[in-house]
Amino acid sequence: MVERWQEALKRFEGKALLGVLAWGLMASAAGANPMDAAVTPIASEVNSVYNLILWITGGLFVGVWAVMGYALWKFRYRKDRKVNDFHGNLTLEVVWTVIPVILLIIISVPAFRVLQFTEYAPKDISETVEVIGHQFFWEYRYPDSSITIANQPLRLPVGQNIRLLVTSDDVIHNFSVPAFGFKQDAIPGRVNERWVRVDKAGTYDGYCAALCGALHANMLFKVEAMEPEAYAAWKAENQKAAAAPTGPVTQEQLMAAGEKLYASNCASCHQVNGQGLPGVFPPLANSDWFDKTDKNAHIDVMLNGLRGEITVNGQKYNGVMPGFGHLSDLDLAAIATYERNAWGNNHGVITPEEVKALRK
Amino acid sequence: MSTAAHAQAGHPHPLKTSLWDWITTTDHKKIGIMYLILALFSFFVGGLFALLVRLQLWRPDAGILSPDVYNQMLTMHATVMIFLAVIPLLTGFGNYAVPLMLGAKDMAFPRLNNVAFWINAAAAIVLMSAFAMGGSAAAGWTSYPPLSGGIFSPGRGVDIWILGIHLAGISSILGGVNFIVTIINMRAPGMSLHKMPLFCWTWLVTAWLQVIATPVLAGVLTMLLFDRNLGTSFFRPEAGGDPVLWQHLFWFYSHPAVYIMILSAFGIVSEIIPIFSKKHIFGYLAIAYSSVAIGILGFLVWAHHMFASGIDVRARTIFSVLTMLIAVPTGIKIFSWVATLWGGNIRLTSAMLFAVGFVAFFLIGGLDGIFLAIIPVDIQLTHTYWVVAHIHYVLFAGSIMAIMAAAYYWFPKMFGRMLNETMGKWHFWLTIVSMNVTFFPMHFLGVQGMPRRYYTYPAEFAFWNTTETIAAFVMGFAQLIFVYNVIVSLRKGEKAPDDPWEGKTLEWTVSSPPPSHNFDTMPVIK
Repeated sequence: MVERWQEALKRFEGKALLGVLAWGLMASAAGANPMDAAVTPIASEVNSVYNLILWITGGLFVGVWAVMGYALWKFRYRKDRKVNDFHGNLTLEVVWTVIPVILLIIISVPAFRVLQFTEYAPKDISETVEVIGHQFFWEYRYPDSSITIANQPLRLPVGQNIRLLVTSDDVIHNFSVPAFGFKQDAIPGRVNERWVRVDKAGTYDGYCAALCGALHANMLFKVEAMEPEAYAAWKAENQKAAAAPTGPVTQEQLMAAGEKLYASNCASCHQVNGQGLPGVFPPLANSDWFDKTDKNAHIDVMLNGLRGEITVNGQKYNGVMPGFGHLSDLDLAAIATYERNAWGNNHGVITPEEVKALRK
Repeated sequence: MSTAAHAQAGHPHPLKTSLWDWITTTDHKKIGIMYLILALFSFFVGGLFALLVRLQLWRPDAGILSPDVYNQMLTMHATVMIFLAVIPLLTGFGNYAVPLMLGAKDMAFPRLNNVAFWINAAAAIVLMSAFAMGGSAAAGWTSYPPLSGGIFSPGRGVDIWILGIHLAGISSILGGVNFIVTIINMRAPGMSLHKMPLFCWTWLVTAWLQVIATPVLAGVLTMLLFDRNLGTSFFRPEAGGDPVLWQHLFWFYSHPAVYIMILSAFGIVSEIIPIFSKKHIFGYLAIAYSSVAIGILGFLVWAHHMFASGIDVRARTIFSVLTMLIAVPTGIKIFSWVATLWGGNIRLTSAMLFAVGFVAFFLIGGLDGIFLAIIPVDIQLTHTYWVVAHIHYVLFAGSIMAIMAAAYYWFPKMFGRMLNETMGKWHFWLTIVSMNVTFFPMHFLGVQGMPRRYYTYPAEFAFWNTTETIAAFVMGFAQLIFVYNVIVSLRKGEKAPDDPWEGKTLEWTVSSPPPSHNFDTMPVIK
């Protein structure tokens, strides 16, 4: 029995190592590097340093494996082998101390130059955009244009230097766009600055890259880099929307708009079916919270968030809900009305005026 | 002869004694074995958590664990592996072998040694108890506030985690003191520091790291405990505190902690490779002093874990330069181990396979770390799976493989039986293949931008995630071969001679297992 395992081992051993190496080599050829598209000058510069390090470390890896592999084969056990017990050699030791230092210097020179480039924004910044992380969505403010958006793509103009001011409203998040060649921690109580110039129009994937709670993996976002005319048009449209007065609206209109707004703003926690997540996010469907509280409490939560322990349908919740005061009165009224009347609920309408009255 | 009769004859069997004797023992050999048993069990618990994580990641939206439980699993996987598995496994081998290698009859403080072990056991109980008390901490083993603070981690999980780590830390400090005093004071006559085995050198440096760094961890844990429960505002920005302060203080300990986990692994490999090459170690002094250099530099690089946090670029630059420097003493070691093989007569026993495997694959972890030392490249790769690849290459392909090498090397000495070599080789080869298929593709995911600590992911990351999950399960089961080998060999293994490997250090001059007082006459080193 043991002999069978020993025989099998002999056949497995050599193949195992060769197999791993071959697979590793093939696999390394695969795999896309988002910086290869050189969408921003930062990506292209960082990529060049990355590739330099890749060649150097790749060379070191091959070199060490070659020497070690050769030694394991050439000096494998033979009963009659005479050992050469050399255990010091000044030249060798000096060489293999100095060469790594030289390699590190070769890497450092471009690395620190690229660091300067990425860290110090150019003088001609055309606009500042604020990026605010929340559990579990991103909010963007364009102070020059008085635009605030959330839960939608970050729009940036192509070809212009933008300053990004990154912070958070609650826990540490991280604003990461691999195609741009950087990421930045979003820390409450602190504003971290980065600059970016997007040279190619397109839509780029973004991720929250710092563990921020249960739905850390659900804070995916997009950045839309637009040609200047399209960017200007988008801005104009958004400014108009913010300024437009809200006329009388029907419950049907509020429900229809509210359903969409609920899906994009609230469903990630409270779920599309309003069931929430037991113990984590309270349910809204058939929720006794609406019986225990009045409309103003609902509006207050939507505007300012809610923290501290509450009990809903007999279950305790002790989480943090962020405020959504960045949404318009109309949008909040729509969401609140939808929540109060969907899924078999029947708790009446909330109007935009009622929301506006409670804003501080 | 029965145990009792044996005892009456004045020669108690070294291993067959009562449970109470084991619980209260001050014998470093028994304490070492207890550390190893508890830590091996913890290794499987931490491994179970990892397999649950990988199961959830086998495909996007797998729905096997809820997001909150997933975060508990990733938190406790790392916590258990660091504080209950790797550090105590190395402590177990250190406890067992260092006094023997020094020619001493025990550690300097045998009773303290016993206390340190039981505090470690208490830490294990406290940490695991969280699962019965509403769930463990779920903010990562790095526990950054405000996520780990009272508002965003309500409940007891983080508080219990803090208390558990405090206990592990106390054990570490007490153990560190013991090792330092033993190594400085209890070497056999004639054993100058320059004649001391390299495993003892690396333990000397490790012990200093434990003693100096761990109190800072204790401080920062207490600060978080106070913020959570007493209304202080060390880290709470709404009250004027600074979340980044946690990061500085936490990493001031946790960076030296990674050297605590690797230095004695370097020591193990430095003992095993020469023996199975039938040569002296190449560059003994270089390996000894490069370990000291790594220990010192290890205190000066903590903020390389914070390159994306927004701290001043001039400070980051200094940390980057110091981090790059660590590559030099590490490279010296790797080249010295390869040079030791050169011109030797190499026997590839299981112990030697794992030791050589360490050199071959820890190398990958060292090289991918260079990318992380360079700030602009780190900013692209940090918080992604590249870092997960790096840490698992240095900790699994590194520390754990060295620990396995130590197990195959010292098992005959500890238990008087040989481990089965065929099973050992199967263990090695299955581990090598599965480990590389599990962790190497994480480099690709990191370059593609997949962040860490994600319970689900977009479809473009699915291929490598599925691959890694399958390989991780193979890796997990491969470790059971070792457990089976231990159980079978303890009962029916070939009896081990005093010196099965033609070793050069003092433990091989006494019986297997050694008598309880180690040496009949004090060895004298010429």
